[in-house]
Amino acid sequence: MTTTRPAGGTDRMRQSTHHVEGEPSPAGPGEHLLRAIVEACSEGVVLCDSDGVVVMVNAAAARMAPEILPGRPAASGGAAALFGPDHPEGDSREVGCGHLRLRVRREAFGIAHHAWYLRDVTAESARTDALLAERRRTEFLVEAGRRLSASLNTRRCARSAVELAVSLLADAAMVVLPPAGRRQAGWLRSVAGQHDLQEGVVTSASTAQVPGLAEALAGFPPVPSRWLDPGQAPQWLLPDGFGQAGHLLVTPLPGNGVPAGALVLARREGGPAFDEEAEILVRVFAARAGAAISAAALYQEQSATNAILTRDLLPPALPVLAGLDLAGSLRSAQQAGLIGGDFYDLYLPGPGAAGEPLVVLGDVCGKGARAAVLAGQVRQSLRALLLLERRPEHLASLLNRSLLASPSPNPYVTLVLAALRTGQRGHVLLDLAVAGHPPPLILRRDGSVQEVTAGGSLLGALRESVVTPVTVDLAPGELCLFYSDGITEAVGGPTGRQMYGGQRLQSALSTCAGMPASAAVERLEQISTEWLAGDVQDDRVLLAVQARPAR
Amino acid sequence: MLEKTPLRTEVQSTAEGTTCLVLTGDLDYDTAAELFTLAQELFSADLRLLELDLSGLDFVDSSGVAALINVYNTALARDSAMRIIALTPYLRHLFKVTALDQVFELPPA
Amino acid sequence: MSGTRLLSGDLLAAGEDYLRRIGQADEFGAIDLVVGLLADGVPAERLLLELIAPAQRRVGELWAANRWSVAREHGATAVSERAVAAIAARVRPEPSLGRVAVACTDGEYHALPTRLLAEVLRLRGWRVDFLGANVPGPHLITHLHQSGPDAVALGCALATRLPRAHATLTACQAVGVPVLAGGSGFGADGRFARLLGADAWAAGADAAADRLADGLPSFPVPSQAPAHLADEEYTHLRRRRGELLTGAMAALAGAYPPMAAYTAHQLDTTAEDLGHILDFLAAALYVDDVEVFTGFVTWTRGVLRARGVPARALEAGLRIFHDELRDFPRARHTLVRGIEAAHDRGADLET
Repeated sequence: MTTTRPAGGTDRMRQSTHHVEGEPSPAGPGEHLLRAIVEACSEGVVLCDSDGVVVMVNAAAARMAPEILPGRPAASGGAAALFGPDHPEGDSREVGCGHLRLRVRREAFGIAHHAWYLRDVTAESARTDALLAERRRTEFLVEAGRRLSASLNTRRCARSAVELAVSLLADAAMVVLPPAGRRQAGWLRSVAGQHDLQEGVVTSASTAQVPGLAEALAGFPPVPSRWLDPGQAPQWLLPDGFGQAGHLLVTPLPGNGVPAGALVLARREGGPAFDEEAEILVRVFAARAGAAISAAALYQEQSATNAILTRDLLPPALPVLAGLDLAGSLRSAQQAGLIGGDFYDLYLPGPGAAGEPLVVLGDVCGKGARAAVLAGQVRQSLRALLLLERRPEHLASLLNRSLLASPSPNPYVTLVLAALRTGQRGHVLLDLAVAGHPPPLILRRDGSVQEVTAGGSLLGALRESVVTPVTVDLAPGELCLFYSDGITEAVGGPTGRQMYGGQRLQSALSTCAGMPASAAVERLEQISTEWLAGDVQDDRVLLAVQARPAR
Repeated sequence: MLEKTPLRTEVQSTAEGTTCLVLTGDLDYDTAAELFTLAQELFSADLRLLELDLSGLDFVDSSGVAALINVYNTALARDSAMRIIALTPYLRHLFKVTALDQVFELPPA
Repeated sequence: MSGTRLLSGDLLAAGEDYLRRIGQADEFGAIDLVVGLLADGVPAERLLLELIAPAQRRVGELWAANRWSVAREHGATAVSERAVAAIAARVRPEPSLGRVAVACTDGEYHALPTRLLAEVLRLRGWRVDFLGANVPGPHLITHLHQSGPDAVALGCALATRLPRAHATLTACQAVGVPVLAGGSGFGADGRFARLLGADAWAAGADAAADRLADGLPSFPVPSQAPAHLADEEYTHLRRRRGELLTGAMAALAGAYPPMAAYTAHQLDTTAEDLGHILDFLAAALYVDDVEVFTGFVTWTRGVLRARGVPARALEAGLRIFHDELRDFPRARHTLVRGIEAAHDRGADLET
């Protein structure tokens, strides 16, 4: 199907005189009548000749643009903007004319005449503008909600707040965070059109220079926004090269019970002032930003406390010791906190004190934070007991008695203790006590793997624990591996339901002959993690003691 | 993901003052408390001997072992006894590693 | 500049020396070498990228060609880790730029390239938190909340980790931190980084440092999950992995009688190899890219040939999955291409 549009004024002229074939032609309206009809039209009509000189103006057009007069070129004086020479035929354009907004359309009539039709759309356009502004505000608040709710980091939240603010509210925006105990307050600032974030600190004395800012930072409950005299703004409040601010607004960021700081907005000289509508929007935005920043501050405080509390529960760094290398790996089932019931630790004799280094690897009953606390107690108890006793099997039975007296509901622990002695010709001797724990494995130089035959009961359950000591001799390059049952009892593998088992661990270990301890531990951990294929079930710990290979 | 089997417990009274508890499924972190609670209920009645049939357990972790120790200690505290009448080779290995084979009464291997 | 060129020549020679030392797990020798070059005025970044990185690439090739054992490869890598640490301990510029968290994808153990990136960024003035290999997603997110970095640099060396990298990437973006993706897992041209919605991608450590210096968006743009995942072939393949492997092992035993005499260890290795086929197949489906799979097949063929294993064994594995995966059109198409790559034949299967 094809459609044709009437194009051009000549067609239109023809159409206006069109009549049905074969019927008598009615008498056309006279010129006076036509003129009156045009006069009465609510749309403005300006008829021009081929030179663009106005031939006729109707009343509506005269009302909209009084400077258009017959006999003068249409595009002259204040009306020039209305009648662009490049205005496409038949199209409408919106043009500002004094206080009005007019929609202008051009139509050609033959080659000798063209007409301009003017429609006053001022009210309509104001409504549209208001709607668009409302939509911009809504979109701004939706985006603000999305970005501000993302992070629990104070700095990231404050950064989002200033970046959002310069996208709509101001030319420069600054968040001053409440001073954290000290007498300095951190701030972040963003400038519209600049990617880089500015950051710094100010003293409380400096914040006091800004009316309303100190109060906002102190979190006095109902502090309203304040317009500031830009002339009084201290230099630090504005970015370098910003010039004189035209308008400044300080708004407190209301937090959840704690002050979250203040938002300082600046607009350039010559820009619009903060009117009431803008201020309402700023207040709504500040409420959201404040809630986000204070929630983040609370989280930061809690996680800092948590970090202090759990620091001693993390595995220690393993230093370089004379004649031997240590490597450990701890993978917690609780993935966010990295703590659990499996642990290892190293105890070095104090400066000047006699005795060998001692390592322990163990597994307390249970999982997660509760188990980690008991593991921490075991590590601390051992540290204290070491002042009295350094023989592993005696340490084990002292620890057993200490656990029996523990108020924990299930103070059961299995562990391996080893005192590390350096022997002759680069050998390392391990005096071992194995208390209810999977026996350590020894990787010999030829790649063969032996299981240490030593036994003992788990600790914390029975009045008397019996642990038989055993000594292991490592030649240079040989390695003794301690591990927890989280390694051997990992269920997974290709089919997803096989237990890893001691046999697989032994053959994996035998492939590590010749590797440094750190590489061997990393490889075994990798194999174990791949066996689990993402289905982490239990804490897993590995610790290797290697007699340093001969150079 | 490995689907877990729940712990199922079946209580059979075999003789006067003796109860046999048959456990099947997983005895682990998630289910250990169930066993302990049930054992305490049983001991609060007039029970002299608790027999445990552990041959149907698929998996026992350290929490499961802890629960067995707790049941054992409860029995001792009440002048009663706990006896394991059947178990898997894996459990026997576990008891050997933890030296609990010296503590618990186990059937001959 | 002739001086620079001369230095490059020296570095090339030093590289041979370095490779020899790490190949003997000679930790002190390797460290002496890099520390000496530092003292001679070779910039730390060049040592990392033009000495250690190429040597590590050689290590991988030597292992693939069966000229180095797994133990030697791991030993060499461990020594390189120490060499990087030795450089990092000696050159410590004051941080002047923002903060970046550098991490390998969950399940990823090829940490050295990512470690090199972390050190290069540190040398360029970033404050870097290097979280190491195999970072669990929840741990990374906790870290992001606590330290509020400007960006995450996420390494992924193996295509099989892409689904997890995608999850991590999305999680980072959800907490408002943009992600720079890197590593060969994202494709030589970074196409998977784009597909999975990374905010930026860089081919190497120096390019990554340049890209970060240009500035990432301060807040990530939300991205859509790839449309091809709607057919759920990836999901079903993952879910049925165990069952498919059990079936494939049985089918292989039927087709290849000597398997009856396999030791437990040999059976494990065979199951592992079949598992790798499924994992790369799954990755190829995840990113809808046949080359991920054919690239793996070609590489495996090379590794197997170096160890005297005929391509026929690989092809047999591929055929078994091809026969098994009847309701998986994308997977079957990918397997056909894989069989071609294994054998340079097999187009007749495409019916």
